[in-house]
Amino acid sequence: MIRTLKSIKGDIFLQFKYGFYLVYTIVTIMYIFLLNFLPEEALIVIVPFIIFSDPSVLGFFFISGLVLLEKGEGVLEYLIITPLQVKEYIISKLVSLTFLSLITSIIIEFFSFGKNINYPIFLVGITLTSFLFILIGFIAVSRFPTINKYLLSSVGYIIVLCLPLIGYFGIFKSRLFYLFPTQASLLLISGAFKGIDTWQLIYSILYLLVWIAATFKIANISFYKYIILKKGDN
Amino acid sequence: MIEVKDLMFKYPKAKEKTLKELNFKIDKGEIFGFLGPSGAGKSTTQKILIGILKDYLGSVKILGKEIINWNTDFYEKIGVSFELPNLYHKLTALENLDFVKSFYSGKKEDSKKLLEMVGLEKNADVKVSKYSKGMKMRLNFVRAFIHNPDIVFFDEPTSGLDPLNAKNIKNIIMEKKHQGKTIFLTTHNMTVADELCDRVAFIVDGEIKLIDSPKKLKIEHGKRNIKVEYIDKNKFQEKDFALKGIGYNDEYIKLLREKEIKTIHTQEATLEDIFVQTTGRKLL
Ligand SMILES: Nc1ncnc2c1ncn2[C@@H]1O[C@H](COP(=O)(O)OP(=O)(O)O)[C@@H](O)[C@H]1O
Ligand SMILES: [Mg+2]
Repeated sequence: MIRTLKSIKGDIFLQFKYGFYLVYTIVTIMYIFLLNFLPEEALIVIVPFIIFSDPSVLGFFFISGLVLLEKGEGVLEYLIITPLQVKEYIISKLVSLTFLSLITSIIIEFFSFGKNINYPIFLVGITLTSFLFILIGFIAVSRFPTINKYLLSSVGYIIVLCLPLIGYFGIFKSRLFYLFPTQASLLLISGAFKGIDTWQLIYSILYLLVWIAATFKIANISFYKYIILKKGDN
Repeated sequence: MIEVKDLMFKYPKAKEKTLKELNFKIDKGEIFGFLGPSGAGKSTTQKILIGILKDYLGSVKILGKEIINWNTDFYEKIGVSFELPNLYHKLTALENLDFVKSFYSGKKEDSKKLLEMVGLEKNADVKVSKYSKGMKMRLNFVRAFIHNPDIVFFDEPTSGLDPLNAKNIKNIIMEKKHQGKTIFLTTHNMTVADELCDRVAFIVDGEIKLIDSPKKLKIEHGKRNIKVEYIDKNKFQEKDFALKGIGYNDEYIKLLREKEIKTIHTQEATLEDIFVQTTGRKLL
């Protein structure tokens, strides 16, 4: 527990040093700037979408960036032989990156929509979405030894995960979207803005938790299989 | 400290076993050298000993406990320095040390003191990306001591260092040995092994061919010759004599009496010669 906290602190420091905070600041300012041009009526649809994309897409790519960087500089090889456990390593990444997502999401919401929303649902939605995408990003990146192979495959991951957006924008409605964990994310985040049914709330939280538990397990296995064992390659 | 019995290992995709029935024991305070050409299985052995590769056959006991039964407490007790430096490039040397230091719970070394040991104190606050290869190697080396481990593993600790820094690294290793630390050293550099190791294992194709102290090996395998250099007819000459029965060797005694002797040396085999002799292989 203490080790995990130390690691979170270390990760935040690292993310700061490697310029993640700077990138996030720029992205946030850009979002706020663009959202200012939208008419009031559009905000209720667009702001939740932007907020959804923030922890998800950024979480997905930032975790990959971090892992690729730690792999590239060889430090992953070193971290394996410290007392830091794989699960602590992953939890630390989850918490530190989600922290960043929460801050930026709150700032974006405040400066674009700015009205009272249901903050508990908002924060839960962002946290769970961020966890999910970081874990999936982690699984994706650990499989691929090179950035190019990874980038190619990541497009596939992102497209599949973002399919429920078709339903969200009302292009095409289907119950099948409920099979995607991102449907749950969209329900929660947009629900914080315009309300959500109780059954949808329960479904969203439970379904995301199930996905997070499963991907957490797979992430642990992937780490051992692809990062620890692969390291034996000359 | 380390006890390895019938250790066998095969990489999942490999056709042949990488390690074949390795047996050795390392005592507390010993410097044990693992010597062999590249591809022999040195790094693989080290990876098993430090608990990274777990699917081995046979037994590997470290500090009295089978390695697969250790939890992460194990890493409080061992220190590792890999062959290639693995450091955060955007952090300074000090930040690099403090970053990993926070994962350990026991008594820890002062980061600044460690940097002093390898002559990096003036560059403590410089980003590692600005470091030369040798500086990175030194930082990478000294980091292994940060949590005051009982056993330290070094993969080619002096490779890529200038003679002065290599000497310093060797001195530190000796000093740590005298503090009671056990040291496992992997190298293909025979001089390093000769100067540092209490015992060496010769490993070729995943097999240990021999384990002994460098000193004993050199006595046993030395050519046992004496080379005499002398001046004869205004010219430099040299002649070899068998050490055995040298006191009764008339030609030798006559030479000593009649010629102007410049040097007399026993001809010791180098560890490298012995390696080639016993394994039939060259170190690369
Ligand atoms: N991850 C791996 N998968 C398959 N074979 C490997 C792997 N890593 C190393 N090998 C092979 O195992 C043998 C021993 O390698 P290694 O232990 O790295 O040798 P050394 O450190 O003595 O140079 C070599 O033939 C090498 O090609
Ligand atoms: Mg090697």
